[in-house]
Amino acid sequence: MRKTLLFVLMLLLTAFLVACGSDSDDAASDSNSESSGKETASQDSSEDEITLRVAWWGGQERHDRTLQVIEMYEEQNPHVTIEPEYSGFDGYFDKLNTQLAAGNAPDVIQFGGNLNDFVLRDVILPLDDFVGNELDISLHDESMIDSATFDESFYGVTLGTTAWGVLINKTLFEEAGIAMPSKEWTWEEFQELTPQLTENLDGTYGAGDFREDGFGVFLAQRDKFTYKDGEVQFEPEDVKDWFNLWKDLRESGGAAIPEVQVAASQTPEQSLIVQRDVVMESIASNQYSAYTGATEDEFELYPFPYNSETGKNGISLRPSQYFAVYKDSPHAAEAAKFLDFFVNNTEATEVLGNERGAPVNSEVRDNLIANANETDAAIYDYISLISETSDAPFIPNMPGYNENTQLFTETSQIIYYDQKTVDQAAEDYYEELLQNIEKYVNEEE
Amino acid sequence: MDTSTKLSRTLTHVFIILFGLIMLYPVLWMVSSSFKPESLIFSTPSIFSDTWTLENYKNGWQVVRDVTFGLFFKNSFLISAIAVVANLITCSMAAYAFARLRFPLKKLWFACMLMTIMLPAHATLIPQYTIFHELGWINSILPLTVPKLLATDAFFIFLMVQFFRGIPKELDESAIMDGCGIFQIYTKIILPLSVPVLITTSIFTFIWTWDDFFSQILYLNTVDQFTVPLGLRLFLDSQGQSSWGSVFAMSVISLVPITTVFFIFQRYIVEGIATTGIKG
Repeated sequence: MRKTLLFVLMLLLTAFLVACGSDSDDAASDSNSESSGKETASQDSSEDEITLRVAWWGGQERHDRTLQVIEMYEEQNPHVTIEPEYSGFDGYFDKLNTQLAAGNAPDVIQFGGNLNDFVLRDVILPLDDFVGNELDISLHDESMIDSATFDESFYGVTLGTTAWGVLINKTLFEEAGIAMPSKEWTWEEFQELTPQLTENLDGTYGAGDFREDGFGVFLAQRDKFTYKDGEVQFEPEDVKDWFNLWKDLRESGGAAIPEVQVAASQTPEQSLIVQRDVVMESIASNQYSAYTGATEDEFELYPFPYNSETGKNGISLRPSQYFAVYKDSPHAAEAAKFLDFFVNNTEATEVLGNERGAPVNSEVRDNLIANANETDAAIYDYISLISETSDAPFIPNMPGYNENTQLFTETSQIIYYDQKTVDQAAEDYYEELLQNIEKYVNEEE
Repeated sequence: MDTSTKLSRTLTHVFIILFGLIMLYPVLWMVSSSFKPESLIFSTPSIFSDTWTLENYKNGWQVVRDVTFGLFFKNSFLISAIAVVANLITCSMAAYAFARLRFPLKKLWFACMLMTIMLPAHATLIPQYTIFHELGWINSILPLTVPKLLATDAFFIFLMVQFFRGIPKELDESAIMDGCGIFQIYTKIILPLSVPVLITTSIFTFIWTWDDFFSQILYLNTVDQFTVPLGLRLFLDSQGQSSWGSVFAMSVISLVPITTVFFIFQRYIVEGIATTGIKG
């Protein structure tokens, strides 16, 4: 008797669930475009009403500008409805990973330097079929196309180019009574300048640690690279030299002490340089306006100090973010058309401006330089300077980027607190790095 | 004698007030920062500032386009309210069954329920998402509210079971003598005697749902469905430009409902937890 009751209850529950499911399907068909989009696609693939889901992360400024471009696109393509799915950075990739696992990812997805990890996981659509038709990349920087090319297939359009640089607080240089160096400075000059700055300023250090990004540039100045053509192209010796350089800088008083460095935040607004804890810090050029906007001090962007032996600055243009298309997108061609509009259309790029970095299309970039404001002009100038002086190829992120960056930071901290000698820490780092990379590369196979 | 007790009392109070201020400092800092011009927030981190502005509140409220923060408040309130009502009804029913009724394999079911508390949320994440996706519930509030109708918050069931067990069985028996059935014992005896634990459940459900970020960002895609925690993160891009002024201003506003709820009901929270603890 009891068991029958239980059984009936279970049946009722299932019925309830099913009823809810179909109910909301009807109700949601206008708001949840995803399901309706798929249906129309299977019924009729001609110029029908379609819905594209476009996802990105960013701040308020990026949301405003991107939405404006989306509206422009919808106006010109009345059969396309774009459903924007935007959020802050927190949770963006967690959500994306869940969506990918469930087969419910947006059609157009914004990626950062981790695009390669997703290509390896085989969730991104190669765009080769659309290049030259829906999508024109003939005016795009060659190195940026390379950066999104894996196994000879092209996977994503670059939304902005950036370059690493050293941000210098000009106001603090003035307060210290020290003349600004030339833009072709060397590491020797850097080692001389920083202790002077620390000495002349109260509670401010010459430079904050340049981190892993600085290490990449440092390597490129020696014609060595973090990870290129499927292998690590540097030796433990290089790691030792880099960490020794910074150890010496800390000992001479030029670099921030560990206590200050460890408390540092990567967020521009809370960074050491904005807090006036240091005079110089390494940043990506697209972050320039976030830094200058957070303070009333005057900042200037410099290339990294040159290697006086090789005479190289080791800086290359880098993609900031990409738009890529989801592998199972039912409207891949429409998505490619949208990408084309987003990076090549003059009006669209004027709206987007420099928010994601300098435009990848050279014609569009020239158009923007002509009517840029002061901050943007400083960035374009720097990008132009780098594209003229650049002597290094673009190096994509290593496989397992997040884990390896964490490893690098941990190694720095081990050295800060003398838990290991520089030699020992550098060798351990190198060994673990090789293991990490092997792990990620094997996963792909 | 009299003066020395007075002195020690004053000293204690001074100490407590100072300590309280230290604990409150981050909140005070947030409130003061929300009134500062954006460029001064991090460059002059003092609580006291010469320039005050309401700009952050204006910018923050007007999120993007025609979407205002008011919409996020509406969505958050709706989800929280449904969650509270649903949890109150279904969790108390489940708890009543575990505490009073006899059914086969009761101990096993109870253990299963406890196990769901210990199961890490990440393990169930993707299967859950897939189910909701198949049902077509993504980008609606259904995945966030419907499960609450099925008494899925095992923690509250456990809390209530402990409380119900403390209610004397004799009351049930006398109710049976008066002709009450199982359901009437639940509504007429158990529930009226359990007000403290019901209030505790409501408050915690409200606060946890209001503060929940992860499941909300997972299931809500478009801005018109967004809730307050998602809205706050809309201003933040760890790699680029974040509007901290707006974040602080809106954080201050979003603290209002939650602190109000807490202050109105705080004595019940203590009562609910204390009584379950002693009698359980």
